[in-house]
Amino acid sequence: MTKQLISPDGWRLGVREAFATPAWVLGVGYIGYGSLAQSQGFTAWQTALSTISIWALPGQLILVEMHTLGAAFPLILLAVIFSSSRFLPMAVTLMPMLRAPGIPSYRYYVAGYVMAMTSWAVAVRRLPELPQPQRMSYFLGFASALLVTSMICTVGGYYAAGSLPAPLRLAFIFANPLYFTLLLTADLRDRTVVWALACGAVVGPLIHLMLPSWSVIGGGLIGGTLAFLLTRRKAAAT
Amino acid sequence: MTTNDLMLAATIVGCGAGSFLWRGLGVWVADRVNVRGEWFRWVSCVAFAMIAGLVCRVVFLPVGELAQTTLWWRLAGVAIALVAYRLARKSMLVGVLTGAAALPLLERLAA
Repeated sequence: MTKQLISPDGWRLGVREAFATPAWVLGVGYIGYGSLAQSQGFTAWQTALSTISIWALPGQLILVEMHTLGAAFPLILLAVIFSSSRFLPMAVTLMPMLRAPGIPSYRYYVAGYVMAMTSWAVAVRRLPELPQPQRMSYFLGFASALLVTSMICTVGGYYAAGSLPAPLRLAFIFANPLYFTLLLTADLRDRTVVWALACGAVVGPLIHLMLPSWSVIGGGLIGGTLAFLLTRRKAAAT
Repeated sequence: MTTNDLMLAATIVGCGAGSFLWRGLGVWVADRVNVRGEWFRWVSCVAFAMIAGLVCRVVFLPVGELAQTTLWWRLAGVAIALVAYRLARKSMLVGVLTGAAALPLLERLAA
Protein backbone atom coordinates (compact mmCIF):
# COMPACT_ATOMS: atom_id res chain seq x y z
CA MET A 1 0.00 0.00 0.00
CA THR A 2 2.91 2.34 -0.54
CA LYS A 3 1.63 3.55 -3.85
CA GLN A 4 -0.28 6.79 -3.73
CA LEU A 5 -3.34 6.68 -5.92
CA ILE A 6 -4.19 10.33 -5.44
CA SER A 7 -1.62 13.07 -5.67
CA PRO A 8 -2.64 15.40 -2.80
CA ASP A 9 -1.03 18.38 -4.52
CA GLY A 10 -2.93 17.77 -7.72
CA TRP A 11 -6.21 17.21 -5.89
CA ARG A 12 -5.81 20.40 -3.82
CA LEU A 13 -4.91 22.44 -6.89
CA GLY A 14 -7.99 21.14 -8.67
CA VAL A 15 -10.31 21.96 -5.78
CA ARG A 16 -8.76 25.40 -5.34
CA GLU A 17 -9.08 26.29 -9.03
CA ALA A 18 -12.67 25.03 -9.06
CA PHE A 19 -13.56 27.56 -6.39
CA ALA A 20 -11.73 30.41 -8.13
CA THR A 21 -14.64 31.02 -10.54
CA PRO A 22 -16.19 27.91 -12.14
CA ALA A 23 -17.91 26.57 -8.99
CA TRP A 24 -19.63 29.93 -8.40
CA VAL A 25 -20.82 30.27 -11.97
CA LEU A 26 -22.07 26.70 -12.14
CA GLY A 27 -23.51 27.11 -8.62
CA VAL A 28 -25.71 30.04 -9.61
CA GLY A 29 -26.76 28.11 -12.71
CA TYR A 30 -27.89 25.23 -10.49
CA ILE A 31 -29.67 27.61 -8.08
CA GLY A 32 -31.61 28.74 -11.14
CA TYR A 33 -32.23 25.11 -12.09
CA GLY A 34 -33.38 24.12 -8.58
CA SER A 35 -35.85 27.00 -8.43
CA LEU A 36 -37.12 26.19 -11.92
CA ALA A 37 -37.69 22.52 -11.02
CA GLN A 38 -39.55 23.55 -7.86
CA SER A 39 -41.84 25.83 -9.83
CA GLN A 40 -42.61 22.99 -12.25
CA GLY A 41 -43.76 20.61 -9.54
CA PHE A 42 -40.71 18.38 -9.13
CA THR A 43 -40.06 17.03 -5.64
CA ALA A 44 -36.80 17.97 -3.91
CA TRP A 45 -35.62 14.35 -4.22
CA GLN A 46 -36.27 14.20 -7.93
CA THR A 47 -34.46 17.49 -8.46
CA ALA A 48 -31.40 16.39 -6.49
CA LEU A 49 -31.48 13.00 -8.23
CA SER A 50 -31.41 14.69 -11.64
CA THR A 51 -28.24 16.62 -10.80
CA ILE A 52 -26.30 13.68 -9.41
CA SER A 53 -27.36 11.20 -12.11
CA ILE A 54 -27.61 13.25 -15.33
CA TRP A 55 -24.98 15.79 -14.26
CA ALA A 56 -25.39 18.01 -17.32
CA LEU A 57 -27.32 21.25 -17.00
CA PRO A 58 -28.58 21.35 -20.63
CA GLY A 59 -29.96 17.80 -20.35
CA GLN A 60 -31.59 18.57 -17.02
CA LEU A 61 -33.27 21.65 -18.49
CA ILE A 62 -34.66 19.47 -21.28
CA LEU A 63 -36.01 17.08 -18.63
CA VAL A 64 -37.84 19.84 -16.74
CA GLU A 65 -39.10 21.63 -19.84
CA MET A 66 -40.43 18.48 -21.51
CA HIS A 67 -42.08 17.31 -18.32
CA THR A 68 -43.75 20.72 -17.98
CA LEU A 69 -45.06 20.39 -21.53
CA GLY A 70 -46.52 17.03 -20.60
CA ALA A 71 -44.30 14.86 -22.80
CA ALA A 72 -44.43 11.08 -22.30
CA PHE A 73 -41.65 9.60 -20.13
CA PRO A 74 -40.03 7.52 -22.93
CA LEU A 75 -39.79 10.64 -25.10
CA ILE A 76 -38.17 12.62 -22.29
CA LEU A 77 -35.73 9.76 -21.77
CA LEU A 78 -34.78 9.70 -25.45
CA ALA A 79 -34.36 13.47 -25.68
CA VAL A 80 -32.12 13.70 -22.60
CA ILE A 81 -29.98 10.73 -23.63
CA PHE A 82 -29.75 12.19 -27.11
CA SER A 83 -28.50 15.52 -25.77
CA SER A 84 -25.91 13.73 -23.63
CA SER A 85 -24.23 12.29 -26.70
CA ARG A 86 -21.70 15.13 -26.65
CA PHE A 87 -20.03 13.34 -23.73
CA LEU A 88 -18.73 10.70 -26.13
CA PRO A 89 -16.38 12.94 -28.15
CA MET A 90 -15.62 14.93 -24.99
CA ALA A 91 -14.44 11.82 -23.14
CA VAL A 92 -12.44 10.63 -26.15
CA THR A 93 -10.60 13.97 -26.23
CA LEU A 94 -10.05 14.25 -22.49
CA MET A 95 -8.91 10.77 -21.48
CA PRO A 96 -5.54 10.77 -23.30
CA MET A 97 -4.63 13.94 -21.38
CA LEU A 98 -5.34 12.23 -18.05
CA ARG A 99 -3.35 9.14 -18.88
CA ALA A 100 -0.38 8.30 -16.64
CA PRO A 101 1.29 4.99 -15.86
CA GLY A 102 -0.12 3.07 -12.90
CA ILE A 103 -3.63 4.54 -12.87
CA PRO A 104 -6.19 1.72 -12.59
CA SER A 105 -8.60 1.74 -15.49
CA TYR A 106 -11.76 2.21 -13.37
CA ARG A 107 -10.49 5.70 -12.54
CA TYR A 108 -10.94 6.79 -16.13
CA TYR A 109 -14.58 5.78 -15.85
CA VAL A 110 -14.89 7.76 -12.61
CA ALA A 111 -13.35 10.72 -14.44
CA GLY A 112 -15.86 10.17 -17.25
CA TYR A 113 -18.72 10.27 -14.76
CA VAL A 114 -17.65 13.47 -12.94
CA MET A 115 -16.83 15.21 -16.23
CA ALA A 116 -19.17 17.96 -17.35
CA MET A 117 -18.95 20.77 -19.85
CA THR A 118 -17.21 23.12 -17.40
CA SER A 119 -14.59 20.69 -16.17
CA TRP A 120 -13.92 19.52 -19.72
CA ALA A 121 -13.49 23.04 -21.12
CA VAL A 122 -11.14 24.00 -18.28
CA ALA A 123 -9.23 20.71 -18.37
CA VAL A 124 -8.40 20.71 -22.08
CA ARG A 125 -6.76 24.10 -21.55
CA ARG A 126 -5.18 23.50 -18.17
CA LEU A 127 -4.04 19.85 -18.17
CA PRO A 128 -1.24 20.23 -20.74
CA GLU A 129 0.44 22.70 -18.35
CA LEU A 130 0.45 20.22 -15.45
CA PRO A 131 2.90 17.37 -14.81
CA GLN A 132 1.43 14.07 -15.97
CA PRO A 133 1.23 12.32 -12.55
CA GLN A 134 -0.85 15.20 -11.15
CA ARG A 135 -3.41 15.46 -13.92
CA MET A 136 -5.88 12.74 -12.89
CA SER A 137 -5.96 13.97 -9.29
CA TYR A 138 -6.32 17.55 -10.44
CA PHE A 139 -9.24 16.65 -12.66
CA LEU A 140 -11.00 14.49 -10.07
CA GLY A 141 -10.59 17.24 -7.44
CA PHE A 142 -11.79 19.94 -9.81
CA ALA A 143 -14.79 18.03 -11.14
CA SER A 144 -15.91 16.63 -7.77
CA ALA A 145 -15.78 20.10 -6.25
CA LEU A 146 -18.11 21.25 -9.01
CA LEU A 147 -20.45 18.26 -8.51
CA VAL A 148 -20.70 18.78 -4.74
CA THR A 149 -21.25 22.54 -5.14
CA SER A 150 -23.89 21.94 -7.78
CA MET A 151 -25.73 19.45 -5.57
CA ILE A 152 -25.82 21.94 -2.69
CA CYS A 153 -26.96 24.72 -5.02
CA THR A 154 -29.64 22.55 -6.62
CA VAL A 155 -31.22 21.85 -3.24
CA GLY A 156 -30.64 25.44 -2.07
CA GLY A 157 -32.23 26.82 -5.22
CA TYR A 158 -35.16 24.44 -4.80
CA TYR A 159 -35.99 25.71 -1.34
CA ALA A 160 -35.21 29.34 -2.18
CA ALA A 161 -37.46 29.24 -5.25
CA GLY A 162 -40.25 31.39 -3.84
CA SER A 163 -37.95 34.08 -2.48
CA LEU A 164 -35.72 34.47 -5.55
CA PRO A 165 -36.64 37.67 -7.44
CA ALA A 166 -37.14 37.22 -11.19
CA PRO A 167 -34.30 39.57 -12.31
CA LEU A 168 -31.85 37.68 -10.10
CA ARG A 169 -32.99 34.34 -11.48
CA LEU A 170 -32.52 35.70 -14.99
CA ALA A 171 -28.97 36.80 -14.16
CA PHE A 172 -28.26 33.35 -12.69
CA ILE A 173 -29.45 31.59 -15.82
CA PHE A 174 -27.54 33.96 -18.10
CA ALA A 175 -24.28 33.48 -16.17
CA ASN A 176 -23.65 30.05 -17.67
CA PRO A 177 -23.59 30.89 -21.40
CA LEU A 178 -21.46 33.93 -20.52
CA TYR A 179 -18.94 31.84 -18.67
CA PHE A 180 -18.61 29.42 -21.56
CA THR A 181 -18.22 32.25 -24.04
CA LEU A 182 -15.32 33.65 -22.00
CA LEU A 183 -13.81 30.25 -21.33
CA LEU A 184 -13.92 29.13 -24.95
CA THR A 185 -12.77 32.38 -26.55
CA ALA A 186 -10.05 33.44 -24.09
CA ASP A 187 -6.49 32.69 -25.18
CA LEU A 188 -7.33 30.89 -28.37
CA ARG A 189 -4.14 29.52 -29.84
CA ASP A 190 -4.97 26.32 -31.64
CA ARG A 191 -6.14 27.00 -35.20
CA THR A 192 -8.18 23.79 -35.33
CA VAL A 193 -10.06 24.73 -32.15
CA VAL A 194 -10.80 28.23 -33.49
CA TRP A 195 -12.33 26.76 -36.64
CA ALA A 196 -14.26 24.09 -34.74
CA LEU A 197 -15.76 26.69 -32.41
CA ALA A 198 -16.61 29.06 -35.26
CA CYS A 199 -18.21 26.36 -37.42
CA GLY A 200 -20.13 24.91 -34.47
CA ALA A 201 -21.34 28.35 -33.42
CA VAL A 202 -22.82 28.95 -36.86
CA VAL A 203 -24.07 25.47 -37.77
CA GLY A 204 -25.57 24.53 -34.35
CA PRO A 205 -28.18 27.34 -34.18
CA LEU A 206 -28.97 26.94 -37.91
CA ILE A 207 -29.86 23.29 -37.41
CA HIS A 208 -31.82 24.20 -34.32
CA LEU A 209 -34.09 26.36 -36.49
CA MET A 210 -34.97 23.37 -38.65
CA LEU A 211 -34.61 20.34 -36.36
CA PRO A 212 -34.37 21.48 -32.73
CA SER A 213 -33.64 18.07 -31.23
CA TRP A 214 -30.74 17.52 -33.64
CA SER A 215 -28.98 20.84 -32.99
CA VAL A 216 -26.28 19.53 -30.64
CA ILE A 217 -25.42 16.34 -32.50
CA GLY A 218 -26.02 17.67 -36.01
CA GLY A 219 -24.27 20.96 -35.30
CA GLY A 220 -21.31 19.12 -33.81
CA LEU A 221 -21.00 16.57 -36.60
CA ILE A 222 -21.46 18.99 -39.49
CA GLY A 223 -19.64 21.97 -37.94
CA GLY A 224 -16.85 19.76 -36.60
CA THR A 225 -16.36 17.93 -39.89
CA LEU A 226 -16.31 21.26 -41.73
CA ALA A 227 -13.61 22.57 -39.38
CA PHE A 228 -11.71 19.32 -39.69
CA LEU A 229 -11.66 19.57 -43.49
CA LEU A 230 -10.81 23.28 -43.49
CA THR A 231 -7.79 22.81 -41.23
CA ARG A 232 -6.47 19.69 -42.87
CA ARG A 233 -2.80 20.03 -43.68
CA LYS A 234 -2.53 19.26 -47.35
CA ALA A 235 1.19 18.59 -47.35
CA ALA A 236 1.26 16.12 -44.46
CA ALA A 237 -0.71 13.30 -46.00
CA THR A 238 0.63 10.63 -43.68
CA MET B 1 -45.60 9.56 -3.33
CA THR B 2 -47.75 8.92 -6.38
CA THR B 3 -47.11 6.48 -9.24
CA ASN B 4 -46.40 9.47 -11.43
CA ASP B 5 -43.72 10.66 -9.02
CA LEU B 6 -42.10 7.23 -9.11
CA MET B 7 -42.28 7.11 -12.90
CA LEU B 8 -40.58 10.49 -13.10
CA ALA B 9 -37.89 9.35 -10.67
CA ALA B 10 -37.33 6.22 -12.79
CA THR B 11 -37.10 8.36 -15.91
CA ILE B 12 -34.49 10.57 -14.23
CA VAL B 13 -32.41 7.54 -13.27
CA GLY B 14 -32.76 6.26 -16.84
CA CYS B 15 -31.56 9.61 -18.18
CA GLY B 16 -28.57 9.39 -15.85
CA ALA B 17 -27.77 5.85 -16.97
CA GLY B 18 -27.98 6.94 -20.60
CA SER B 19 -25.74 9.90 -19.92
CA PHE B 20 -23.19 7.63 -18.29
CA LEU B 21 -23.34 5.24 -21.23
CA TRP B 22 -22.00 7.97 -23.54
CA ARG B 23 -19.29 8.91 -21.06
CA GLY B 24 -18.26 5.29 -20.55
CA LEU B 25 -18.28 4.62 -24.27
CA GLY B 26 -16.03 7.64 -24.75
CA VAL B 27 -13.56 6.33 -22.15
CA TRP B 28 -13.61 2.93 -23.83
CA VAL B 29 -13.03 4.39 -27.28
CA ALA B 30 -10.27 6.70 -26.00
CA ASP B 31 -8.28 3.61 -25.04
CA ARG B 32 -8.39 2.35 -28.60
CA VAL B 33 -7.62 5.43 -30.65
CA ASN B 34 -4.34 6.93 -31.75
CA VAL B 35 -4.18 10.47 -30.35
CA ARG B 36 -1.91 11.60 -33.16
CA GLY B 37 -4.22 10.28 -35.85
CA GLU B 38 -6.63 12.25 -38.01
CA TRP B 39 -9.59 10.38 -36.54
CA PHE B 40 -8.81 11.78 -33.11
CA ARG B 41 -8.48 15.27 -34.56
CA TRP B 42 -11.91 14.89 -36.14
CA VAL B 43 -13.47 13.79 -32.83
CA SER B 44 -12.02 16.86 -31.03
CA CYS B 45 -13.39 19.10 -33.77
CA VAL B 46 -16.83 17.57 -33.21
CA ALA B 47 -16.55 18.01 -29.43
CA PHE B 48 -15.65 21.70 -29.69
CA ALA B 49 -18.26 22.36 -32.37
CA MET B 50 -20.99 20.71 -30.26
CA ILE B 51 -20.25 22.92 -27.29
CA ALA B 52 -19.91 26.11 -29.35
CA GLY B 53 -23.20 25.31 -31.03
CA LEU B 54 -24.93 24.71 -27.71
CA VAL B 55 -23.66 27.95 -26.13
CA CYS B 56 -24.46 29.96 -29.24
CA ARG B 57 -27.95 28.46 -29.39
CA VAL B 58 -28.63 29.50 -25.78
CA VAL B 59 -27.73 33.11 -26.66
CA PHE B 60 -29.54 33.31 -30.01
CA LEU B 61 -32.46 30.89 -29.58
CA PRO B 62 -33.00 30.33 -25.86
CA VAL B 63 -35.91 28.48 -24.25
CA GLY B 64 -37.59 29.10 -20.90
CA GLU B 65 -37.04 32.32 -18.99
CA LEU B 66 -34.23 33.61 -21.23
CA ALA B 67 -36.59 33.40 -24.21
CA GLN B 68 -38.55 36.30 -22.77
CA THR B 69 -35.58 38.65 -23.11
CA THR B 70 -34.60 40.60 -26.23
CA LEU B 71 -31.89 39.16 -28.49
CA TRP B 72 -30.09 42.53 -28.63
CA TRP B 73 -29.90 42.76 -24.84
CA ARG B 74 -28.53 39.23 -24.64
CA LEU B 75 -25.89 40.13 -27.23
CA ALA B 76 -25.16 43.34 -25.33
CA GLY B 77 -24.74 41.23 -22.18
CA VAL B 78 -22.18 39.02 -23.95
CA ALA B 79 -20.30 42.09 -25.25
CA ILE B 80 -20.31 43.70 -21.78
CA ALA B 81 -18.98 40.46 -20.26
CA LEU B 82 -16.14 40.34 -22.81
CA VAL B 83 -15.20 43.99 -22.23
CA ALA B 84 -15.37 43.63 -18.43
CA TYR B 85 -13.22 40.52 -18.66
CA ARG B 86 -10.54 42.45 -20.58
CA LEU B 87 -10.74 45.53 -18.33
CA ALA B 88 -10.50 43.43 -15.18
CA ARG B 89 -7.25 41.92 -16.44
CA LYS B 90 -8.82 38.67 -17.56
CA SER B 91 -10.90 37.92 -14.48
CA MET B 92 -13.60 35.45 -15.52
CA LEU B 93 -15.60 36.14 -12.35
CA VAL B 94 -15.78 39.90 -13.01
CA GLY B 95 -16.67 39.30 -16.65
CA VAL B 96 -19.46 36.84 -15.87
CA LEU B 97 -20.93 38.87 -12.99
CA THR B 98 -20.96 42.13 -14.96
CA GLY B 99 -22.51 40.55 -18.04
CA ALA B 100 -25.09 38.60 -16.02
CA ALA B 101 -26.12 41.70 -14.04
CA ALA B 102 -26.36 43.73 -17.25
CA LEU B 103 -29.14 41.63 -18.81
CA PRO B 104 -31.90 42.18 -16.20
CA LEU B 105 -30.81 45.82 -15.86
CA LEU B 106 -31.06 46.45 -19.60
CA GLU B 107 -34.42 44.70 -19.72
CA ARG B 108 -35.64 46.85 -16.84
CA LEU B 109 -34.38 50.09 -18.39
CA ALA B 110 -35.93 49.31 -21.74
CA ALA B 111 -39.30 48.32 -20.27
